[in-house]
Amino acid sequence: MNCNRFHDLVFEYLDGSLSGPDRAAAEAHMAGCAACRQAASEQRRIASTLADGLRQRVEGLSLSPEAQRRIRAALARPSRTVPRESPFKVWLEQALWPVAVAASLLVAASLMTGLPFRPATHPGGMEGTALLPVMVSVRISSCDETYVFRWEGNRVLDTITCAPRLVQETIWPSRSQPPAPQGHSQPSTL
Amino acid sequence: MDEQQLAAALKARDPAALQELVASCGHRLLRSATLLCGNEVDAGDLVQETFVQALASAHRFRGQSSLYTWLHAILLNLTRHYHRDRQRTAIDDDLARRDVPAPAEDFHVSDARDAADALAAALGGLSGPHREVVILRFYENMKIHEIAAHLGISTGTAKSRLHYAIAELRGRVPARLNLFEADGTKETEKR
Repeated sequence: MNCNRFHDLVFEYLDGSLSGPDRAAAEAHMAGCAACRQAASEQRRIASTLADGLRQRVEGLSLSPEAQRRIRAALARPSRTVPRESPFKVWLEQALWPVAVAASLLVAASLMTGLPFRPATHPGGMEGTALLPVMVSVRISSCDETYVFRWEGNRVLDTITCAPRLVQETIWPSRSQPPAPQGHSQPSTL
Repeated sequence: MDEQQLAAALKARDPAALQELVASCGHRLLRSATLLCGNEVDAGDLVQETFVQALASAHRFRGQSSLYTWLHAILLNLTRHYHRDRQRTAIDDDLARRDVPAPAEDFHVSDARDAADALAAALGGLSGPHREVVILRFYENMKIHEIAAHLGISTGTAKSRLHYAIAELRGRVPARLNLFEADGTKETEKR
């Protein structure tokens, strides 16, 4: 181990978190290098000084009974401040909404026009494209976000409430009954 | 109630468990928050918000760290927002740094408490990321790999920030205090 490597590992050496071989190499290096020995010793002293100084700065501080009461009251409150949704998630939800509607309508139209299905044969032996008595129900759930801003002490907190929203569309074909056999193909209509 | 029971009770919003959590972690969080934000009043608000957010996201606690460490991570995040909001609404970082008293040659040190105050003032002059590593290392007593995991950074970055922060503190604490020199602390305590 050289001085640069020791300098890189000095914190881990002081932590006692070096692996066995690294620790042995560090100690061997320090035994022959006064500068690194001094550097490790200095870091120990700095750590002790800073730890003492920081502890003295805040020792004796504790949550007052009033602060504890405020915390308990805040925890008991039903409405809570939630972390704001990430912008990407919001964008994704907004972008997916029209896509989901369009896809649902496409599926509904396909079902009603019978395009994905084989032509049906009516009783009487007449063949034609049947209008299936299809009712398509599209249920799309989403969430209406409401932002409520309120003062609390000297801060403004925002509360986001999510109200579930359900959109239900029922699409009926123009004729709900199969067409009467007329001897020729009946085009499907919406 | 041990940690696991406390975590389970927290997820169940058990009032007795919440009270125990506030009693066991609240004071320590307040001290850390005071160092992180620089004043006790705002630290109290940050601790309150930490518990509120912890309750809201209790389901995310996986037990991979202690409850205190998990709460501290929430506190750190809130403190970053706190500093960001302060910069946005009040003054920019340069002005904030100007508020920190410059090392004065006639700085009078009466006892170790003054040295601690001078150290806290110097700490307040560091950038957020550097202040965080100093507090995690020397107040929370975390090892380098724990600091890296807590902040979501590499150990190399954690060490680099720590080296830089120590050098900055040495430059910001009045030389007269002799805090970072050999037997500096003892001299201060003797006075």
